[in-house]
Amino acid sequence: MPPVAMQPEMVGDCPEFATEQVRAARRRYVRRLAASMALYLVTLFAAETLVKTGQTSGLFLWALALLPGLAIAAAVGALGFYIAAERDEFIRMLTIHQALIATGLTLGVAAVWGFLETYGLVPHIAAYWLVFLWFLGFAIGAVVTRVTHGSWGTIW
Amino acid sequence: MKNRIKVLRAERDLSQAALAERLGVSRQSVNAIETGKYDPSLPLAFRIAALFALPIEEIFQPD
Repeated sequence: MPPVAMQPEMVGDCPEFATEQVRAARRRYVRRLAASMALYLVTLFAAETLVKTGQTSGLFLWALALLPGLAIAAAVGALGFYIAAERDEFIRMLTIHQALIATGLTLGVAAVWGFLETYGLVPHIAAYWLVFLWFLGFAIGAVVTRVTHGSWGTIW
Repeated sequence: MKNRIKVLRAERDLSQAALAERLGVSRQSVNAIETGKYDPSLPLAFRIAALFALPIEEIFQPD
């Protein structure tokens, strides 16, 4: 009878760190992000339709003007909650790297553009474009983490 | 930090995905640790050591 090869010892799983919990944070983030984006599209459509045709005033106008921005803020909040809830430390680190790259890019562009605008060299842009720039920076950050750490981090 | 995770994993005939599943992390995490692109935290290093039933210093060594 041939000798049975000894399998190196292996202790069981780590149930307190079940992969399902890791994936749950990601699923919650995707759901919240999708809900925020849907709310943004609906409220933006309502604001563009009603405000620009002059059909609103007073508190209703305030509400319509606030909602698209709050929907974008909710998307930023969803990312923040995701970072706090993500139990995979490597993915969490990459996502924070991405956020730092995005923040650096946004603050840098805001500072330079602000002075150029003050001295009349460039046109005025609405502040909400900075948020879109931040998400562009977040995507650039994913490319950077792919190069530096071999993983895309959080793409969306 | 150097580590022997790739060898230990191969000895136990475990894929990166299977090890990641047991540790409760992503496959990318296991790959990044194996290739030296990421040094795990102390709690994760202890979980890896516990999983392989080895002292931590037999898995991780300083460069």
